[in-house]
Amino acid sequence: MEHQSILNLIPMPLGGVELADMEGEWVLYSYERETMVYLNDSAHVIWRLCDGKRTVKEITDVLASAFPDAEKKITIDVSETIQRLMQEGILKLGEA
Amino acid sequence: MNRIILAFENQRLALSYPESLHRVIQLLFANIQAPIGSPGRTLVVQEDECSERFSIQCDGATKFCGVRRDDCLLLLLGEVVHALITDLNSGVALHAGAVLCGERAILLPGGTGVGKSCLTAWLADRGFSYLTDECVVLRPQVPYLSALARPLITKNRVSISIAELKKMNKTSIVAGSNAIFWPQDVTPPGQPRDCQLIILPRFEDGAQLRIESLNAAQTALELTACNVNARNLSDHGFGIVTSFARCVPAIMVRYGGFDQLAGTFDMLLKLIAESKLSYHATRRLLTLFRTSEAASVKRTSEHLVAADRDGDCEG
Repeated sequence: MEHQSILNLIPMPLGGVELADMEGEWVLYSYERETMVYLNDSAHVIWRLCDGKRTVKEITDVLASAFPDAEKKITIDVSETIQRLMQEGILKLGEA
Repeated sequence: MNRIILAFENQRLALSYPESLHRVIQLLFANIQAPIGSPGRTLVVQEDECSERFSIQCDGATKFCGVRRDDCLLLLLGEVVHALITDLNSGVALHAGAVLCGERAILLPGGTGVGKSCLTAWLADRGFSYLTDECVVLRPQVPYLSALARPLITKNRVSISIAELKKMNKTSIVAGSNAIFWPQDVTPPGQPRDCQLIILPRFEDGAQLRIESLNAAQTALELTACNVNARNLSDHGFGIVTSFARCVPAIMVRYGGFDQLAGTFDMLLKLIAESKLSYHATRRLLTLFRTSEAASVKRTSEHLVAADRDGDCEG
């Protein structure tokens, strides 16, 4: 799925997920899938911004405004992270 | 038929078996026999005296039939472990080995084929007291664990032969290609032990010795992958696993043969144990073996979600 095609969609966390702070890194546990997912700092920030209200574009814009020199990289990171969390059954994309 | 009660944690199992197996059953299960208790499950081993073949039933359902004596004993070991952990909910049950170093335990979690049983056997041969090579329960009182005592099983395809083990009782309880035997130094089950270190074994034929320190997140991923009773626990064991991972230092050891570990890895473990280092000091010491954290996570789990592709995340 290309970044452009999901820009206006809203990443929505699915239920039954628990987050734990592991000394500055993060793990998410999905009760439905019975799997644990590792989040590094960047992925954790993206996950936090997935509040069920912001679109993918809005999440990208928030991060790009904070790190204007890395806008291109942020665009790729947001897209890849959201798609990976979808693969893990932790997020779904909804219409705005 | 003879009947005994086997116990582990809050589970009880009734095992019935023919007189012909009495001696060997006593050898296999002496360390988990309980004098009393109402069993939650029943296992029945029956013998067809004409064919000298055996069958195993669990709660009235036939699991195996027409098997030879030695195969029956090997299968029975697995069935007993399975029956004792199926409903266990007193902690997080892991597929793991464990040994004692002094008064504290070393946990060796790992799935089939990573070299867990072999490394456990090797450590038991190098002065560590044997607890189990199969199942450990992480208790809510972190970092305490309980071990399900069962004999060591070395399979015919594994990297270690009994001949390499110098201090073992090498007489297998069964004949055939798989060996079942108790190490000479076995710590009987009793009170839970506090866990000093987690070792994740990775045997790879021909590999160079490499020790890597794991961070808490990586450790939690590895422990979760070995959890065998998640559905019995209200939070799937998430709280206990993450608490353990934060508290207990963990390393991954890749090795291609035990000659690499002699005088190196065992010495490191004894140094840690005999120094009576705190968890914090042990974790600090093991940062000597820390590698790129992002890369380590990629190797240890399929469940990586890392937006940072440059591997510059900090732990």
